[in-house]
Amino acid sequence: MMELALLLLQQGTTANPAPIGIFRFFVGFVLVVAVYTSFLGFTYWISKDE
Amino acid sequence: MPIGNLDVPIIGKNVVIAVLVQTHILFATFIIGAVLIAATSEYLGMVTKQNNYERFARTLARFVVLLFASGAALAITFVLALVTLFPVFFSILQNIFFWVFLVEAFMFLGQIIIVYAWYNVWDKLAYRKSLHVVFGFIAGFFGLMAMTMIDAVASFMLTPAEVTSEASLVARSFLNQTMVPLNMHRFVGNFSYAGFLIAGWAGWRYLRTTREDDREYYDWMGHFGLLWGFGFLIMQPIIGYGYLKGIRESSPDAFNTIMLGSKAWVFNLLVLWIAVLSIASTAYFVHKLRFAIRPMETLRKLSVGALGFTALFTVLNIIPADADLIPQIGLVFGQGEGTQIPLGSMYPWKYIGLIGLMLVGFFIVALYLRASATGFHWGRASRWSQYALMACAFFVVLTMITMGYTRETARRVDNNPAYLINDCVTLDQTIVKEGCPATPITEGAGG
Repeated sequence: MMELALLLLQQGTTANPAPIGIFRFFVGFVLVVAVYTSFLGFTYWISKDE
Repeated sequence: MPIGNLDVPIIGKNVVIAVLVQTHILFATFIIGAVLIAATSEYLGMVTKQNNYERFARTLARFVVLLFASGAALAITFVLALVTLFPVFFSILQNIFFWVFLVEAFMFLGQIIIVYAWYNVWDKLAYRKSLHVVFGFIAGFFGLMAMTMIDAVASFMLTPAEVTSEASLVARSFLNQTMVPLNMHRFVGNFSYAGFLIAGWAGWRYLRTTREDDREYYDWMGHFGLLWGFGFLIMQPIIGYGYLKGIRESSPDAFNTIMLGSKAWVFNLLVLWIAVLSIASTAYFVHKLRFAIRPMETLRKLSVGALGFTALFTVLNIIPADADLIPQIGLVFGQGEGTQIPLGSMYPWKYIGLIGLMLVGFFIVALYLRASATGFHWGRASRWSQYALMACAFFVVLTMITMGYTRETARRVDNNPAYLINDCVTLDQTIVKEGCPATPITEGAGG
């Protein structure tokens, strides 16, 4: 558990061919899609009744 | 040390910047493209007196006004994150591009003011329509200028020219080798991306609506959006070739990383998304030709042939060059780089694929425009054709994300070292002395 925590806290491994890099790659992708769709959805929601 | 080295737990600071910029770009590109498409649509409504154009332009303008806050908030958060997490790098960028950033800020301000004014005076200028249309185009122009400024910075990061004196600063930093191709690429991409998203939205609304007049409107909107989306997409292979040629000539290591090296798979992903976009668009055009007011059976048969060729050429683009598919996750077959895959090499197969795709694309768009001239029966489109439009909207977002990742990851040069500014500033914000184009400026700054 402690090893995993240390692994997650280390720097500069985003694109290295290591599990932490791949994890961060997909976290980044999911975050982009989540922020994008939620902002778009919110904008649609506030505009749809006009 | 006056500047601390902050990091973000769990996801790391690189991902923070990537997420903020990628999402900002997804909004900003849509806003620039949508403003220009809406202004053009308003102009077409004024000239043709067809109500669809006016209704579409006004609805889109309102959506852009509401969406602006999201895009702007992400941009400000990104700058804040960059100053905090990469202070040395940001300071170097400001040294080189202070005036560019300043101009960009004012272009951004101009865009906000004009977009809001444009939407707000829609009724007030109803009898001075020409003037109102000009408002829309000026807003689009400001957006394009803001994009041009940030393109100078983004292209410099990948292909920095050697700046040796203050006198050559503007010419060699602003107009670095890939600035113009990148700007052209993004100029065309604005229309294409916004067009596909509009088409996808229209497809979704078409399937949901129960009113006949709305079905006709959303059917027309899907057609109009896809014409922008696919029409501009087929220009991209030539512009993209020019862009990659610029990268290869001035930053060959970066070119090798994304085209031949460990990150070549991102380009394979990219052409996979473009294959879906091309095939779905062409299939939609083929389907739509059945509803031409004046039956055009010969044109439809030709378009079926074009769909076959589109599929052939896109598949040619997808085939990887060797069996070293995604080395980062161990997806390697046979001898890896030593195992060459037939029809996978860049020359001649990829060139044939890209040129063929463009030619067939122009052909099918010409056929479709020919049929559009006589009009279509709106509101009769099949469910599947609308799914094709929605697929286009989904895959164009994937294309944008993949393309952004490709350009930024090109500077990783197999991670040994990875650069923030290619050959100049490394990922840990160390200035590389040898071959660093900005060295004379940074050393000279402050006497």
